[in-house]
Amino acid sequence: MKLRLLKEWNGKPAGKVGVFLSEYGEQMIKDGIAELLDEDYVVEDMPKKEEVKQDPLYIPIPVPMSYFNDEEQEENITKPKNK
Amino acid sequence: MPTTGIINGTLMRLYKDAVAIGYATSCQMNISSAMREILTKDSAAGGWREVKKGQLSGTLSTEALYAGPGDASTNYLFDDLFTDLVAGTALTIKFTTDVVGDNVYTMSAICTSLDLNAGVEENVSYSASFEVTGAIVKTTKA
Repeated sequence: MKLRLLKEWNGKPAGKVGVFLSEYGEQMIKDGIAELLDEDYVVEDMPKKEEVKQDPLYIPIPVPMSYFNDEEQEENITKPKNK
Repeated sequence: MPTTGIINGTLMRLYKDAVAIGYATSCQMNISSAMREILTKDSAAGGWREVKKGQLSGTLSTEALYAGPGDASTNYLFDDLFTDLVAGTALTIKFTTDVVGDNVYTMSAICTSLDLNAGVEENVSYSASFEVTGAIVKTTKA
């Protein structure tokens, strides 16, 4: 069960939260040491790793000027052949 | 009512006294029995090894994420185990789901090693090993 300390306990200050065995936790609640947060709670929230999304990388590739010589003709390729 | 079927490993965890060992990602309990050889010249086993039960022993281990003193948790953390390891304190450990009707394994154990790992862009994590001293007692949670 998940409890929040109302008083200092075992060197841990009031306000801290933890997971306890139910029998022991119930006694802590009776003794006024802790308050119940969740009776069926077993596993604490794990610290989550922040996901970093990387921006796409654009790498310029050097090409010779001749690469652009036939650029206009290349556009013609998309036109239908039989017209 | 005890858990039916195969138990979800997430729910079964190690508790020091009654407090969970915090941020655990896995827990293991190992129980083993040493064997003592009883082969003699008088044995009728034809040279085959013969054994009988010897010492029983147990170990515990857990892997967990690391949180320092700034963590807002009462759970048992790396720093607590560090203190115990240095002092050689025998801890009362329970391995259980804390569900009524399920098994509770109770034992006294000494922390024998702590490995703290800090990789770049990774969670800091640690693994802890324990040697059981005395018997491991199996009871049912009432």
